Amino acid sequence: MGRLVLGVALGMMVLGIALLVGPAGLDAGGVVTALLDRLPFLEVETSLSHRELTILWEIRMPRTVMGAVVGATLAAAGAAYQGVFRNPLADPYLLGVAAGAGLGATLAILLRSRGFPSIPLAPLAFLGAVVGVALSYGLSRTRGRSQRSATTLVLAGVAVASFLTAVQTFLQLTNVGTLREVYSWILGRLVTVGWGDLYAVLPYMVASWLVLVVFRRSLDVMAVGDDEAAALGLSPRVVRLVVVAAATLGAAAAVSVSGLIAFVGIIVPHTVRLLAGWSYRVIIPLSLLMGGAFLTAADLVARTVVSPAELPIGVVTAFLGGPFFLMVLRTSGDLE
Amino acid sequence: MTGLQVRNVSVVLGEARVVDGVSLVVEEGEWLGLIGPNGAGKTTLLRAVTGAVSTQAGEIVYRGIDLETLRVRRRARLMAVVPQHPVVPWGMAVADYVLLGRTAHMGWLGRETGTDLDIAREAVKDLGLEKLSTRRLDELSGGELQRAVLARALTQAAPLLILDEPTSSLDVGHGQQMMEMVDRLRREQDLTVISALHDLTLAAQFCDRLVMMAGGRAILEGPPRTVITERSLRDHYGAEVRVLTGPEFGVVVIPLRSDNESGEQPVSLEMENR
Repeated sequence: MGRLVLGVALGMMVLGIALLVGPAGLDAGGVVTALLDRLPFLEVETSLSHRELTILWEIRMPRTVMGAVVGATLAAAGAAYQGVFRNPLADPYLLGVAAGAGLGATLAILLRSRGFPSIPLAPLAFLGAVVGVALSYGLSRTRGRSQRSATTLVLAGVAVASFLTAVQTFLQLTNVGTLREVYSWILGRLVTVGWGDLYAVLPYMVASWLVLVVFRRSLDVMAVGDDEAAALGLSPRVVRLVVVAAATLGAAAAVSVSGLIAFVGIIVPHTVRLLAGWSYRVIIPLSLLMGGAFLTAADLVARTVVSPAELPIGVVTAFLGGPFFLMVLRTSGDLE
Repeated sequence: MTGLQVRNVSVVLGEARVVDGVSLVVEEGEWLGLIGPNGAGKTTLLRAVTGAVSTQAGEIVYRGIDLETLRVRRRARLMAVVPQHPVVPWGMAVADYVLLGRTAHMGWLGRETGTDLDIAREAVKDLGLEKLSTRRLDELSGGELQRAVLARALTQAAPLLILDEPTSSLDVGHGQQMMEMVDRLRREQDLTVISALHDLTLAAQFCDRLVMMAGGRAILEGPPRTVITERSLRDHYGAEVRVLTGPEFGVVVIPLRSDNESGEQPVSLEMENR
């Protein structure tokens, strides 16, 4: 419980800093008072001008919240995949999520350059991700029931991902004009989004969080393997299906707006594990919190370090996450 | 009422018919031992009973219920399983591991109740694990781990206990303690026990009845003395043994070395080291 409180406090702190910092140079006191003013029953006079308030509420706020929910979703999805496949290297992009989304995004960018400027990127990326996973799942089902295992699904995912990536690379290389835009999407970025983008994907992410939180105890049971989980009274197939579906839905929604942000789904759950132990009852909620805080912090770095330009956030997550994780690994001992 | 009935069960894995038309009965409160050489089909037969593999033919009925029709949750309330090689989850503490046994009694989404915690604590105490309850599972010795697995099985509060080679990774002392613990618990809690056993001497000492399997079939069945004989071990294990029986030790199996040299004396290492 103390850890949860600490996690919430840390998350709030990072969110606060993210709202205070940006190229527009909003006055810190003004931001705080503007935020307090939004609380119910509280009337506070803010020093921000109308233009500054618009920057705060329509640009900085949605972007910060987007960073937090994308990070939370990717981290919790990663934790769930690792639990359900009992593989510490499983990530939210397993099973063709990334490759499918990449192909969808590439198609969207391509069509835009070919005279369909109104083609939206996020829905196509989302669709691509869902198609990728559906293909992986469908292919794994073609094996006989007795020969099927968790590994079958993962291997089918690898094959589907290779195929979709090949198609995506082909499209990209035959249309060199789109190369830069596609590449920037693949590296991941939280472009300045409005509330509209957030509202479009938030329901999927929230649904994914709810399912994962509800199934966190089942993930603990899955730790003893399929045979023993079944002997204890839990159907591993059902748990895996529900948890994978929920995590994938959330991850697909996340990548559709953020691109492929690497590392969050692996680094955050493992850091939580090293700090707070084995139980998914703790890992899932803490991954949600820490994932949100981590990505918000990474976005803060991404948009300030080379300001007014921006770094791709995927570069920041890998650059910061790698060393940080190694440090945690060194100080807290074993992982396996 | 007859407890478990295995009727003409066959299991095919890949191309191989690993269990071939086995029928057997386990009475309520009985301890039945499954013995037989490696590859005889003991483990697979137990896995068919627990539902881990599907049967190709035959039926398995417990207390009048066809087990194949049961969902995993109902099944887990009827039978608890101690696997031969339990999966040891990283970082999990003994007390939490034991509590996993209550899964079938909690809601899927549910939290453990006070009753669940009491039952788990009781099982921890029953198996003398109190001092280890906060220890990590991956830091236990083989004997301690086996006790934790047995404690988890007990918390399932199932009338049927299935043990696959419970002593195979234990030394002679711990193996004996394990068997004595199972024997005490089954008397205290009216459990019906089926176990595959490697150690024939222990099997003869603790089981009420033995079934010897070979080549996927049940070959011999009866009280230990009638099943473990020099002849049956030669025929089905390909082993040259002496079988001694006596009132104070039951049945003892002594393997004979084919070129046994006698008259040698061991050298005392303590003398050498001085």
